[in-house]
Order: sequence, then structure tokens, then C-alpha cells
Amino acid sequence: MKQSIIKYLIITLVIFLTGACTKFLDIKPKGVDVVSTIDQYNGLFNNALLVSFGDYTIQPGGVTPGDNADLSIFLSDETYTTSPYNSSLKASSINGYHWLPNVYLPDQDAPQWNAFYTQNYTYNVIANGVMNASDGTELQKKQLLAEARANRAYLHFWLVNYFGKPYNASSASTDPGVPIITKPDASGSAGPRVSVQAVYNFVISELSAAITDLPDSSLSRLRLAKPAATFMLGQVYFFMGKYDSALVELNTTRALIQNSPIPMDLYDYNQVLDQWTPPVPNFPPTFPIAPNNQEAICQRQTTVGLYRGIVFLNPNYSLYDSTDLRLKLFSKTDFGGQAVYPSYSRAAPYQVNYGPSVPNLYLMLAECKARTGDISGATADVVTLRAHRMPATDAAVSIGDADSLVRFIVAERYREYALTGFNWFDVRRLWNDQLFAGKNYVHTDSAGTYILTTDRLVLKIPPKVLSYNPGMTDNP
Amino acid sequence: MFKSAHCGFRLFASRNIPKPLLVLKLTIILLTVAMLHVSAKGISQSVTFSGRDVPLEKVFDAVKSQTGYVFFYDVEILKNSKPVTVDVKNVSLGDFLELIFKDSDLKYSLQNHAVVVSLREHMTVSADEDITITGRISDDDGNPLAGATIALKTEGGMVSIISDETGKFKITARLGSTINVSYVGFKPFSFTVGKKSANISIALSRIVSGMNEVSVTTGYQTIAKERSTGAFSRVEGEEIIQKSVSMNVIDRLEGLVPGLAVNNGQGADKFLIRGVNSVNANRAPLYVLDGVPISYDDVSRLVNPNDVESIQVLRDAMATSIWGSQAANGIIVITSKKGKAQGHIKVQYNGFISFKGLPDFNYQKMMNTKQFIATAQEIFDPATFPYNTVTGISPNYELPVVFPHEQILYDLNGGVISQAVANQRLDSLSSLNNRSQVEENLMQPAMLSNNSVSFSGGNQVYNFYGSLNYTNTKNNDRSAINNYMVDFKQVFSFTPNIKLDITTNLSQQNSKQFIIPDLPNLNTYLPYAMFSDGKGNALSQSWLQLYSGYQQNAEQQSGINLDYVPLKESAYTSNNANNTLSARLNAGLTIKLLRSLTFEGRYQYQTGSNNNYTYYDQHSYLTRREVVSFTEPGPVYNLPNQGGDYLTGAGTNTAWYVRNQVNYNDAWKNSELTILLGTEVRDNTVKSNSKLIHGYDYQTMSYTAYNELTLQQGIYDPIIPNYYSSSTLSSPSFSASEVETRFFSLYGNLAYAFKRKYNLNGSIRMDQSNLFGTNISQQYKPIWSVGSSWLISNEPFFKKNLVNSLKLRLTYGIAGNSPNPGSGGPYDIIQPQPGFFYQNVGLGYSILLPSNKKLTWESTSTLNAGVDVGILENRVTFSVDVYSKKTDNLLGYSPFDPTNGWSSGYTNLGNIENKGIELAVVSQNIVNRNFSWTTRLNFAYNHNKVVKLGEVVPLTANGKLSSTGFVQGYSAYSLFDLQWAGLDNQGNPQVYSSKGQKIKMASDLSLDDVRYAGTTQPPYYGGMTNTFRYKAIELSFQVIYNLGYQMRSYVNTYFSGRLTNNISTYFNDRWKNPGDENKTNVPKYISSPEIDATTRSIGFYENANINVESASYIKMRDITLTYSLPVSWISKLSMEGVQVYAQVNNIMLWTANHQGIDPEYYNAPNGPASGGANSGVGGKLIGAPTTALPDKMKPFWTFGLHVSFK
Repeated sequence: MKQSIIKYLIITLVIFLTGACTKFLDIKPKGVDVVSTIDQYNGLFNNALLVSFGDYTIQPGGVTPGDNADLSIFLSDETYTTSPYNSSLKASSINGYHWLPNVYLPDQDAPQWNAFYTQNYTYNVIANGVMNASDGTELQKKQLLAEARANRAYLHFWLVNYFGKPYNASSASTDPGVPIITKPDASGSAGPRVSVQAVYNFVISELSAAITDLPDSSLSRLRLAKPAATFMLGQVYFFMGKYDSALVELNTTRALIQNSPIPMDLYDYNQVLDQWTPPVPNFPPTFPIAPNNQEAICQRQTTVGLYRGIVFLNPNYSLYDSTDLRLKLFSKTDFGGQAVYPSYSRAAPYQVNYGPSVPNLYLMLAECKARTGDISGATADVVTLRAHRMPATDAAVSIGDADSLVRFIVAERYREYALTGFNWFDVRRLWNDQLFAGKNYVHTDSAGTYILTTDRLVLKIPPKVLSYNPGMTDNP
Repeated sequence: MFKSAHCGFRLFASRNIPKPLLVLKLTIILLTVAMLHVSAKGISQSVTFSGRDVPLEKVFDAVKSQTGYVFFYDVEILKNSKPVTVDVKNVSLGDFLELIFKDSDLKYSLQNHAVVVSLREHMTVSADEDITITGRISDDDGNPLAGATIALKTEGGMVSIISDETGKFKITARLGSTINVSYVGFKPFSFTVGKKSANISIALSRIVSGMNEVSVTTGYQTIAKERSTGAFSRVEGEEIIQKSVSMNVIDRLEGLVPGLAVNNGQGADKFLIRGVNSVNANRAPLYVLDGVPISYDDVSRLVNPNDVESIQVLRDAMATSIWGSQAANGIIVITSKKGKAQGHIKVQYNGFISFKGLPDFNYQKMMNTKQFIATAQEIFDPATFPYNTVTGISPNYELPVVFPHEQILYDLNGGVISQAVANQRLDSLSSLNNRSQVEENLMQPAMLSNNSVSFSGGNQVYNFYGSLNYTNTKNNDRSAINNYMVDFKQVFSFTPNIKLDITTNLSQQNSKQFIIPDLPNLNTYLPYAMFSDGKGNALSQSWLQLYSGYQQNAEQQSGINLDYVPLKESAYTSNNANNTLSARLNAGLTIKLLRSLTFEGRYQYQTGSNNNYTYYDQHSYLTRREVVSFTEPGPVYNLPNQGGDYLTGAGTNTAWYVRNQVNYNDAWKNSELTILLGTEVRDNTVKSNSKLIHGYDYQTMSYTAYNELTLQQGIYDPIIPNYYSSSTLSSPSFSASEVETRFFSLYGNLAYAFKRKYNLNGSIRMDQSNLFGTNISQQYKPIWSVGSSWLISNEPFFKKNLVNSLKLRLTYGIAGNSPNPGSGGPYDIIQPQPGFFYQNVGLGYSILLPSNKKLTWESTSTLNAGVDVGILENRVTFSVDVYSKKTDNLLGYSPFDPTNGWSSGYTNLGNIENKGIELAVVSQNIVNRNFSWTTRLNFAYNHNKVVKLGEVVPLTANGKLSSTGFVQGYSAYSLFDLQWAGLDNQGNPQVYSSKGQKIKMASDLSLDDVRYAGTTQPPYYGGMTNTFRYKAIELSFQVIYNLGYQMRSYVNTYFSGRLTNNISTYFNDRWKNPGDENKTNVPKYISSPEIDATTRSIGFYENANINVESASYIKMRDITLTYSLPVSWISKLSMEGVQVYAQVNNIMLWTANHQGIDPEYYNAPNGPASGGANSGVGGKLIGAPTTALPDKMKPFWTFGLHVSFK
């Protein structure tokens, strides 16, 4: 009996060992992968989802697009909408237009929060992993690390400008900002909101570090290289009111884009707008798509073109001279030419670049120069932009007083970015600016009149986010 | 079934005894009840015999041929018997036997359908005499059975020994004592020791079939039911052979198995065993064919229902846990037939045809044309929808469409035509009805037919079973499927100790579709839209696609005709096919290593390949419209304007399977022990690719090149945009996928029986897999179970009166459910991201899944208690099982804090509980010579609760109302409703809040106002089958029932927007004038979708409790009348049995709802929202079109034929 038991054991063992083979299980299914090579880390940047400020969900089977982070269109003061045009708007858009404290319902996703933090995850995967990539040179790794850090910093910059108070040097260190997330941990906890100053410090140090390692140019304007990073840093200083520092960075950008292998310059609307306009009446001009749009230094866009016939230019705002070609981007009728709107509605382009762009470079350069007393420099820069937007004779500017010139340049910003939501950030930036003291921001519609208050410069933390982070402080 | 019975005859009829058996002194073979029962079908039990001095053997032959009763006897005892002289007509078998044995020293006994002849004992047995018995035990093919238990009851207790390698044994016993012989998988046999027993050969009969369910198989082993402790149910092949509901044997199990719920409702889980164990992972049972897992679709393709020997359903942890991480949802084990050692080839034919007809359009309750035109006039609102808006492009770039009924009304409104002309035109529309044209031109009566021929035969060293099968399916949508199957199973017995079985299955499935691109839903088709004129000329319905002005402009600019003539379209898409070839090779090797040790190997290779193509000719509307949508004014064609779209797809599925297992079987005094240990390796690879070529010419097989990059980046402002103002190529020209899953497993099982009364079973398994990114070290998570049973009826104290057998069972164990491959793990998983916009800067990737280091299997623990009772010598048997299941670590997408980058992720998020009871009864109510009545009844009750679901964000009222049925704290498949408060005086819906206030807007709804309205999965379910037999006629009927669940009623859902398709007549009941709120609950129509959306919440009506009804129903699944032709008629035609049957299926007996809805095929959770949007119309969908009821299945007829040849 004992002998036979031993026999059984031996036979059993042999059978088990022939079957056991860990290598057998060590195969990678096709179609997906884990990120390991330098090409894969690089490829993570080549994702069109990272170009738009929009929320999305990826699950096996496809991408579910969420909402655009376009609330700023409704917050911005030049916007006008009323019944019945606003009937197809989401409640959150109308709440934003009414400058209500609570924009979102407790179960709603807030794209202003989610879009930025969602993209932040990808950059965190790169930033935390690329130096350990299985191949690639040290230089390649450092470049990709720098690109991830710069992108990540820029996302935090937009977040703090939605959810933190406008930068104010005297209170920034106590004003609550947003959580800084630098590790990819999807099921982890977010951590507390840090101060506005801490966020700005983070953004500046990350961008500064990145600039050192980034290449001077990229072959794609959807990717971030040194001209974009210096632009971003300049934009951050500009938002902080540090016009000197901004000027340094923006001048670097200006120099770098001269040598870009892909053209980066303004379009002359006098030349191109007719070519872009389709033969179909009532259809808006066709802009070059983002990767080919030479005004983009680095495209980080939001979609604004969906609101034709829904949101309009405040009828009280007369921004444009009749010769301003930018007017052609607006329409007072629907596509059939039948329905006539109460005011101009934006019809083109479909997407607007919130990221580094040539027009904004000129506008910021002009304002920095005007703010620092370089009136001729400022005038030259703003005229350069205007000359690309209207006949040369109408483009000229002759303002001797720096303050007036600043006000003119800000007005030019409104003309350039009307109904794109971009101006909302000027509203915030200039809220405490003495040059604009006394300005009232008013929205009206068939239901009433709404006046912007200091508290409402800041969005409340989305209730869904608070439900995950019960200890997080909310804005008033 | 004839075949197996026949095998019995041949072995016994003395003239046909195969040579090896002739040398045996005594041959006793016990056949199972069912085999004999079947053989006796259609044969009289009265005897007519006349003869003088006839040897008994001859008499037996005559009786056998007249009654079907077989005789068991010792060849020896007949040697001394006298010939008999009898002359009787139509006497009963019993009387006849009395007569012929009256004067002999033989006695007889009737057992089931056998006559056992033996010596009268007092003649030979003298008391207190011991005899040494040398015996040999074999199976019915003559193969020795080693390790069989020979148990002798003596005064001192039980003595038991086991047979040696050659099946031999030696035992000394007192004359007149009883010896029991038993062997796993065989029917036990007992005999009384007589003098003639000294040299006995015993052929045990394999447990093949029968209502007594004497063995159970898990796919890894077969053990005696008596020794099992788990919850098993067994369905015989015969019971499902006449089910014409489907050619998939799994579908045929409905109502036959306690605990198996079959739900044909839209979106429901079709098969659930004992409730639901998962929210997001797999909920379906595991299907196993001859020991190897198989997918449901492959069961359709590879399993001929006529070849199924039996199906077992494993329900509790003891039964399933040997299957490890795939076992949580229960297991359905299919065992296929094999050949018998019967010396000749046996041929059978089975065929049937089912006429399923056309769906019943009246059931849809759609408006007729007259009602429709009247309604169109009533609600026409040119102020809300001005003509110049509906004929222009909408802000969302929806293309303009104006329907003929609207055109007349707009013309009248705009003063283009007079009232008289308008009336005349509307009247002429009203007089049209396209239903008969729809049925004639776009549909066909559904039909299912099947022909199957099987052949089997063999001897002791080789046997085979083969079948050929052809199935033809015609569907209502004019598609057709042909399926051809070849199955062949062979068993080689090289030596008594080495056996090999090889099964080959091959199938080819070809199908063809009837395609009309962009065709609207046929049930909501505009009723006046005629397809052809009186002369049979096809008519254009271009207005369905584009407003004529817009169409003309597009045609002018592109130079391409855009007419839409539905009846011409199918000719342009007739080049399409979908062919699937499947093959499976399964081999099993059994080697007896030592007396009690056996090696078993099971090896399988399965491969399937699918090829499909569809060609949209250049005349097809789809192609023409597509070309125009990529054409820029000029025209500049960005897609070739010659040739059509050629879409091809190919897929392969390759799987292999290796199992090596050792079985240890031993028995000592009072103890029996079975141990098995094994390893298993599996690999499954699925590959597919699809290609789409534009501008392809089918005849010359060539295509015109085009710039794909431009098309993918988008054409801006083409003549007809397909996405806002641009056109983008949505489907890539090539796509491919490949998924490979691998498993490695170790498993073991132990069964110990003590004194044939106490059983202890245990099972353990570990699985490892390559499920992407999972941490291998976390996979050593053993899955195990233990079970015990007590055969009370074997206890000495048990008095066998009414109850003859009684067994109690108790089991506990854990089974698993693994995550889907690639669903998450400790690494971030990336996928390629096509990047047209990233030329020169590398490939593109995006992160598909974030890392989750904590992911683990779902595990389900089950506690099961059961009792099996046999009453009146098993005339009535019943089993009751109660269970409690807890599933932990539910896998699923749980919301995450978006701050960390993901608003949801795949994680372990909660737990579910299931409790239930199951009852199965088999009762032979009447067993008579000419008449018998058998009843089988199944009943199951399941109650479940989602205990936790990882919900971090508090649920909102709307979220709860529209939930997918899984809400923390409620049963799975929950349905929620609102307390209806009637219409207000404006005709808008109102509901009561929990505080009793009337609410009109969804924004005022709070969570407490949403009420639990029940579940949409029946908690009570089962079936009952009654079979009556009178002589050659058999009548059986099966009733199935699903009770205690709820559904949303079918209501009108059209309350706003333009009238773009046919709608329900319920629309006419809507509120029209103040005061109507006292008469109706149907809200008013508001033309403007904006006003509709902002002034009221129409969902209040659809979700109100008045529109939630009981979905319970009882259906007669089938009534079958079978007639067996008399043997005397058919025997001349070389046939042995011919049966014809007629069956009527699917008769509704009772439904709880009052609308006449057939809940079976309904969408219980969503009701009217289930019909699918009218996506065919490419124009304005302002005002969601109403939806139709899902088609129900009408009662239908089936006719069938079974023939078995001699």
C-alpha cells in the first residue's frame, strides 16, 4: 500500500509540473499595451483628446465625450441670451449666465473641473514614468518629462482661474486654490485645496523647469515646445500683473516662433477671408483646422461654434467698426437666412484656441508694453494685429496716454475674442484694476437682470467633487 | 432511444449472443427503466400465442416481439425446462406468464418492462450452506470493471470487497443471502446467492438515462447520485428532442430545470441560474460540452440537439466549484451520445418544420391611415415649425425633410393650394395603406426546419456515433440561414485498460441578409407610404431622406441622382453573405494505471472562421448619398463616383484545451473513497479584421484610389454634410482586433462514503490567467467547497413504508467570476489612438484604463441544503433545495473622484445577496398497461438584494428613476415609479411627492418621491410537463410560468414635435380640452419641443405607477401529439419505429396585464422606450418619433417525424 501511494504521488507530481509554466501566462494581449517605451510615452501626447478643454470618459469600446469646458462663454460679460433662444441650453449654462452660486446639480459632472484633471492624469503618467522608459536617450526622456510638466502646470493654471480668486499678491497665500495632483492614482484621494499662491508657485516652477529642457520647436502645433512654454509662463505673469516678467517670456516666444519649422504668424483677413468663405450663402468662413492654423503656437482649444442662434453679442456692446473683417465671423440670421436674431451670433471658427496663439501674443505684448510705459512698442504690436483684421487705413491707432492705450488694448481683446468665453478671464483679471474701476457687469434676459459680484468671479467647487472630498473647503 | 433499447434485445436474444458471451454461464444485464419504457412504446401488452411443445426460449421471443418485454434468465436454468403447449388469444402478459410457468420449476417476476426468470428457490437452496463465489464484473460491453464494490450482508454486519484489475472477485457467502454489486457510474445490482452463483458473471449496466437520476457529472467526473452532495438537475436528451423553439439545446431547457430562469425580454439576461451574481461581469452560466467549456453561440453551431444524451445543470457551490473562477453563475453540462456495442449499424432520422408566420401587426396598435391623416391635420402647427425652417438646415445641421402629409398642409397654409385641393389630396392619402405591401415586399413568413440522420454501431473494441444535420431558418426580415453539421464520435478500446475517444464536430453556417439602406422601422412606417403603384412599378420615397428642394440642389451640384426607391434598393445590396465554418476535435484518453488508479486525459482543439461581405452597389442609395456627402461644389469628388462600398470581414477563433487528471478509486470495509487531481491549460484566441473599400467594382474586382487622409480629416462644407457642416469618414478602411486568453488551473476533488449512508465531498481549485495586467501573485485565490449528505433511508432504523428513499444534503463553498480580459490591473493600459493630426511627431496612444492595484475576483459563497425523497418505490420523487448566496467584490465601473483623473473606473465595488428555494417533482401518476400519465413540475423562487454598490455620490431622483436596475439597497433589476396625481387643468402630468404635494417639474422631485415598484426579473418561475400515453398515442404539454415581476406598460410616447412616423392609437386619448383631465391620463400634445421640455415633465407620465403593471404570465410552451406507427406496418420497410408528431407552440394562457401585451418578448424595464429610435430617417427628428411595441411571438405549428431503421 505504501509503495503504491508513493507511486501515485510521483505520477501526480509529474503531471502537475508539466502543466505549470508561468511563461505560458506571460503574454500581452494585442490591441492594448502597458506604457513602457519612449515611443509610447511620446505617443501619449499625440492624443487629440488632450487638445480640447472637454470632459471625456474612456472605457473599453470607445470614448464617450462629455461636455466642453465652455462655461466661460456664459459667464463672460459680452454674452447675451434670452428666451426662446436659450431653451436648448443646459441648466448649468443658464445658471452660469445668471451668475448663480450653484451651477451644477449634485450628480452632475463639472467639465471645468473634470476636463483639466482628466488630462492631468495622462501627463502625470508620463511625468512619473518617462525617466524609467525602457529605451530612449536621456535627452529624449528629459524633453518628454519637461513637456508633461509644462502641460500639467498649464492645466492647474486654468483650474485656479476657474476655482480660485483672481491673483492678488496680498491675499493669494490665503485664498484657497485647487488641489495640486502630481501622481497618477485614479482611486486615490485628492488632498486639500492649496492656496492660490501655492498653485501659482507650482505653475511657475514647473514651467520654468520645463523651459530648460524643452526643444526650441515642434513639428506639430498640437505639441508643446519652448515657444509655447515661454508663452504660458508669460501668460501666468500677465495674469499676476507682473508685466515686466511677462514681457521677458513673451519676447522669447516672439523670437522663437520666427524660427519655427512650421509657420507661426497672423493671418491677414484682408487676404484670406474671401478664400475661406464658402459659396453657400449664410455659411460662415471655413477656418483652417487646428493642426494647420498658423496662428496657433500650441492649440489648447474649446468648442464655441455650437451656439449660433443661441448666444449673442450683448446688443449694448458695439465692439466693431463696420470695416472690421472679424464681423464676418458673426451672423444675424440662421443658415437659411430666414430667422433674424436679436444681435450678432458667432458663426466661426468652430474652436477657439485658449492656449498659446499669435494674436494673444501680440495683445499681451502690447498690454505689457503699455503697462510698462512703452507706448510706441505697445501701439506697434496692437496695430500689427489690427492690420491683419481690417484694412490698413482703419487699423491705425494713435493714443498717447498709457492708461487709455491699455483700455484700448483690452477692448481689442474683446473684439478678438468676443463670444468665445476668453474674455471672462479678463473680467477676473481686471476686477480690481483701478483702470477699470466702476465698471458694472450685467446680464439680462426675459426673466430678469443679473449683476456680477466679487464672489461670483469664482466658481464653487462642484458638489460631486465635494461629495468625494467631504473635508474640502468650498467657495462662498 | 430506440437504439439503446434495441441494444438490449440483441444482447439477450439467444440467437444473437455474440461469441464471447456464449461461454458465460450466466449473463445478467440490467437495463434502465427508460430504455425499456421507450422500447415498450406503441407495442401492445397482451399476448396471443399458439403452439405445441415450443421451447421456452421461442415463447420468450414471441412475447418480446408482441409486448416489448425482455426476459432475463440464466441460460443454464432453461436447459432443464420443459417445452410448453399453449393456445391463447389476447390474454394479459401476467396471465400468460402464469400459464407457461405454472408447471415448471421456474418462477418469474415483472420488473418495469422486464421479465426476470429464475429457479424457484425452495427447490435448490438448503439452509446454512456456504458457497464460494468466483465472479467477474464487467460493463455491458464486456470490459472488466476493477474496483467494483461487492457487499455481502451477514449476521455480523456488512462485508465488502472490491474486484481486481480483471474485474474478478472471490467471496464466500451463505446460500440465500444477498450480495450487492456497485460501481460508480453504473446501476447497482443485487442477487440472491444460490448454488448456481458459484461462477457468476455480472455485466453492470451503465447509467445512461432514466428518471431515477442515478449518476451526476460535473464535466470532470461522474459519480453516483447516491454519493453526491451537490445540487444537480438532469434533463434527458429525449425530453428536449421535440422542442422546436430553437435549434440551440440551451434554449430548449426552459421550464425543465429548477432554478434556471429563461427571460426572452429585450435587454434581459436570457439565462440566469439562481438569480444574479454580478453587475458588470458575466452573469450567464458556464456551458460545457463533453467536459470542455463552450460558448453559447458555439452550442448553436456545433451541437445537434438530436445528439444530446443528457444535460446537467449544476447549481450549488459543491457542484460548480471545481470549475473555479468561472463557476459563480452555475454550469450547464451537455453530454453527447456515443455508440453502443451492438454488432450492427443503427440508423435514425429526425426532422421537423415549424411555421412561424408573420408578426401580428394589429398587436402594435398603430394608427390606420385615416386616423393618421386626421391626427396630422389636428396637430399641424406652422407657427412652431415654419415652412422656411423645416426646409432649411437646422442649427444642429440636421438636414431638411418634409413629409407628404406635411407638404399638403404647408401648401394649404401658405395659400399655394385651396382647401378643396388640400382635402382632395389628404383624402387620397387617407385611402392608401401600405401594410400589405410591407408584408409582401419587405417581409416573409418565418420558418424553421431541420433534418437530421444519425448512425451508430460498434462492438466491444470499437464503437461510433455519427450524425448529419441540416437546419434552415427563414426570418421575417427576409434573411435566411442554412446550417450544416456533421458529428462523429468514436471510442477505441485498445486493451481493457486503455481507451480512447475521439469526437469530431464540423459545421458550416451560411446566411444572407435582405438589405434596404436607411429604411425606417417597419412598425412605425408612415402608413400611406406606398412602395409600388397598381401596376407593380416601384415608387420613390425620396421625401423620407431629404426635402425635394434640397435634394434637387444637391443633385445639381454633384451630378448624382439621389432618388430613394426602397423596392429597387435590395437588388443593389444582394451581394452579401456571412459564412461561418466551425470545427472541433475532442479526444479523451483513459489509462488504468493500477487497480484503483486511472489516468484521464482530455484534449480539445476548436477552430472557427467567419467570412462576411456586403457590397453596396454604386446605385445603392447608401453609396450615392455617401459620394455626395464627400463632394465639394464644383463638383469635386473626394470619393470615387464610380463603384460601390465593399465591406468585408473575417474572423477566426482558435482554442485548445489540455486536461490531465488522475482518479483514485478505492473501497475498504464500509468505506469508499474517490479522489481526483488534475491540471488544466486553456488558450483561446479570437482574431478579426474588417475592411471597407469605396469605389469598388464587384465585377472587375478593382477599385478607384482615393485620399483617405483627407476624408478622415474631414471635408469642410461639402454638398451634403454628414457631421455638422463637414463630412468625415467615420469608419476606418481597416480595423483588426486580437484577444488571447490563457488559463492554467490546478484542481482536486474528494468523495468519501461511509457505510453507503454518509457522504463527504470536497473540492478545491486554483486558477491563473493572463487577464491583462492582473498580478499573478493575487491569483492564488483558492476556490473550494465542502459538502455532506446522509442517506437516511439506508439507516437500519428507517422504515420504508410510503417513503422509500430519503437523502439530506448540505454544502458550502465559494465560486468565482473573473474580470473580463483587459479590464484593469496594476498597470495603466494604453491603446493606439489614430492621430491624423500628429504627422511627423510619432504614433498616438491614449490611456484606456487607469491602474488599479487592488482589483480582485468576484467571489460567490453559497450555502445549500437539500432533500431528495422517493415515494412508493420512486413512483414519485422530489427534491427541494434552499440556498443562500453572497457575492463579494462585485466588479464594475464605480464613480471615482474626478480630481484624480477618472470620473469612473473598473473596481471591486460591492456585494449582492441571493436567497431562494427550488423544487422538482417527477410523478408517475398512472402507470398502466395501456395508459400512463407522468408529471414533471419545477418551481423556483429567488430573492436578491444589492447590498452595496460603491455609490459615493448620493443618488438623485432622476438617477434612480432611470437606473439600469441595480441600486444599492434594492433587488437587482429594480423598477422605480412615481405616484400619479392625474393631469392638471392644462393637460400636463402631475405626480405626488412623498409629502403628498402635487409636483409638475422633474426639478422639484426629491429622492423620496421615487418609489420601488418591483423587479423586472421574475422571482417565481418554472414549468410543468404532463405526458399522457395511450397505446401508440402520446400527448404531452408543457406549461411555463414567470410570475411576480413588473413592467412599464406600453403607452403613447409622442407628445411633442413634428409627426414624422406612425404613432400609437393611444395618442387619440390625449387631453385636448379643459375637463379632459377627469377622463384621461394621457397628457396633451404641445407642438414646440422647447415648451414641452420647459413647462412640464412628460417623463412623469411614462414613469407613473399607473403605467407599471404586473408582467406575470403563464404560457403553454408546447402541446405535442405523437403517434407511433404499428410495428407490423413498418417492419416490412426495414423500420423499427416511426413516430409522427404535431406540435402547437407558444399559446398564452394567462397574463396579468390588461393591455394584451405578451411580456415574454417585451422590454420590461423601459416599456415603450424600447422600440429603437427611427434612425433611418436622415432628416429632422424634432420631436422624438414614437416607438412601436416589440413584436411578440405568435402561436405557431410544428410537424415532425422520427424514424429508426432496423
